[in-house]
Amino acid sequence: MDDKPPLATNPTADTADPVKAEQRLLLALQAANQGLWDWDLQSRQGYFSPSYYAMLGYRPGDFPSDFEGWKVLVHPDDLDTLLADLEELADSGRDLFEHTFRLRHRQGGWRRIIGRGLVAGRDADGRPTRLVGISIDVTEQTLAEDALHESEARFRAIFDNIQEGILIHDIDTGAILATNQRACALFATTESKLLASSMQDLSSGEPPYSQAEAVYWMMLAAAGDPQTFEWQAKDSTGRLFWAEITMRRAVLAGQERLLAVVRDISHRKEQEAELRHNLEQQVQLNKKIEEAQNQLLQSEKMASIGQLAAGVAHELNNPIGFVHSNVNTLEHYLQDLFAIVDAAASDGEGSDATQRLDAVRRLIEEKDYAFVKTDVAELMAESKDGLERVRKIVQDLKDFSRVGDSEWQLADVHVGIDSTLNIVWNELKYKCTVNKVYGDLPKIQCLPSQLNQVFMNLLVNAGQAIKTKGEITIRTGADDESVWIEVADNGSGISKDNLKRIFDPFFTTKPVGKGTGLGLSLSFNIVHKHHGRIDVESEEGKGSTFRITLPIQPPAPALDPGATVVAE
Amino acid sequence: MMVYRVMLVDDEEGIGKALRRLLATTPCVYHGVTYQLQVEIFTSSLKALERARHQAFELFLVDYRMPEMDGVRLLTEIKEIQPGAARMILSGYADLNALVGAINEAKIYRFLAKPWNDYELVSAIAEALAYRDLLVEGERLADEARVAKGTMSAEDGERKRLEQLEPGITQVKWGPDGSVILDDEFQLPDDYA
Repeated sequence: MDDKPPLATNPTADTADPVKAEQRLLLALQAANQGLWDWDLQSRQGYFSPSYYAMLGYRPGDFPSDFEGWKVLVHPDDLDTLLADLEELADSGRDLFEHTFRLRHRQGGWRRIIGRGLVAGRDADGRPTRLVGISIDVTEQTLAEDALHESEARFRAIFDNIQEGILIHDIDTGAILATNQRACALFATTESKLLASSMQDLSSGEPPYSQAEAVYWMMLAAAGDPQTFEWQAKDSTGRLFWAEITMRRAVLAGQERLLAVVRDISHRKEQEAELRHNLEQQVQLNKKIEEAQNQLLQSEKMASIGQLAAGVAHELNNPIGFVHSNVNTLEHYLQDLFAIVDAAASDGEGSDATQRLDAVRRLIEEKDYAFVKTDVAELMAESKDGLERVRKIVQDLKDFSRVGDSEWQLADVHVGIDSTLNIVWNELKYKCTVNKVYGDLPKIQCLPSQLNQVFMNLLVNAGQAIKTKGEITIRTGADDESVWIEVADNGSGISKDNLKRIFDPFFTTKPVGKGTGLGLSLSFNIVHKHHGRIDVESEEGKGSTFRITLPIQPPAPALDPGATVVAE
Repeated sequence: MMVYRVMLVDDEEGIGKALRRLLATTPCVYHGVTYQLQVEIFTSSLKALERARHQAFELFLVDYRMPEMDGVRLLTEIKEIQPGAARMILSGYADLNALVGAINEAKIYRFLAKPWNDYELVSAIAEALAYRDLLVEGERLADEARVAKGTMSAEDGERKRLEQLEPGITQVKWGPDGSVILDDEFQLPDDYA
């Protein structure tokens, strides 16, 4: 475009001047990158304005202005339709012509051109003889449009093919304005029917899944807070299904809309129901296990007490035996004393005071009053001591075997150890020295009777590990968070092979009748339930040390009586 | 009148004292015969055994569960030293093993349970003493007959009689160097550590 026409200095100057007018037109065309053309349809000769050539990258006159010369620039695929269009124009009698086709650019490539023309002359038959118009290069616009179309198609495909149903509601009326294919499939209906549906039609109608609640959700979403909720929906056949609906306000094409995304969650709901069912069964099962475990615990406790029965019975029957016998003796002594008192108080005839005194003295001598007097004091002291022992043993037994005392409470571990030791003492005292090395322990949150059972198992085991003579040492201590209790014996110890199995249920090395094989297994469970731990050190021939560590305040779940414990 | 020596062994002091009172205040009678008793109490089975080596008793009444040596064991030892004495166990509890041991090894006359009935206990003692007298009498008569028939020497008969009065008196214990051990110390069995 080296030969630009001179710029008009005064575009509003005399419009009647034809030279100026043409110049103005050509300038305008050039500025708009549009070309002017003029075809004589009979001679097939034409005229192209300089801007026409410029549009295609040529200088004026670079290609001939006849139809044959121009035709080669037309895209071969577009030529036939162009010719057909021209033919059709001739037949139709219309004056206006418009056709879009491609022309080759001088630098290669195709430009998309819209040619718009007007029939400017006709022959006697009315067939067009002259066509004048302009051509506009719309390549860029077309490309943008194509991209838009493509993008729209792509979005439509996504819109229709995503797994979620989409409903676009009018924000004011709630009416469904648009929907995708998936929504139609979900509701087993066609798009037109779905667009005509109300929320009533699409809901189960059972509160809280009825029209009123739907309106409520839509109001919340319309207020600007996106809402996600589960909905019992109904399809066109009346089948109910579960949907998760996400509803939010959105601006679509400049309009406020409610966008509802509907996801079928029937499957998830089924799974949830199944899961819930399984969970319920699990809870039931756990409860049963818990019950069984409690029963086992109780049985083991009773069995342990049974094994201790020999010692306890012996310990009870000794004091009962001598107290009972002493009471009989006391009765005997009292009869003697009454005889003396009666003699002193009697006023038998013919007896004077001196004779009575003699009789009394004789009786005192005869009944050995001096001995009785001292012996009664001893007898009473021994008997009281015996009764106190009976009371204590019974109290210890009661403390130890409390049934159904499954309350978590703050308790002093030392009290538990001592009362347990009293029960077990009868087993131990014939062959063991028991050393107590107690530290300062805070009270801990625990199940005292169950802990006692653990102490008993450890003490009985320690005692049984000692064949004839030995020592048991009970040590305790605490740090900020936990307390520990150690029961050490210098008995037979545990072999390496057995050490791995001592916490297994029913594992025992004791002779029949001496152990259930459940003691340590249950002890382990009890300690586990307290969120504590048991550690063992043992050397064959040297003895064993069991150490229990218990948290002062177990984590909250431990307080749940339904919590189950599984041995590891 | 014969005085019968009775040894009571129970690690529980209260039992011994109560029994002593009982036997002091309650006449021990069987079939019209009253047995005069002299009671010795031990709380240690080892000391009791030691005493039994030197003093003859007509009756031993011992507890079953005791720390140093249980009642069956003690009576079994005593049976070796004083086979003619009556043996009884008084126990607060006993399992089958204890009973089997008491009957088969210690060959006791009675097994009495704690707590006891005073009357039954005293009767049992009287009965046991009467039975023991009967056995001793029978043995003595048999020995007399044996001496008369010449199947036993008068010396043997006398030795047996002395042995009953003073256990071990007829036996001499020789030391490894040929010396005579007069006062043998009680040796615990090996498994009593």
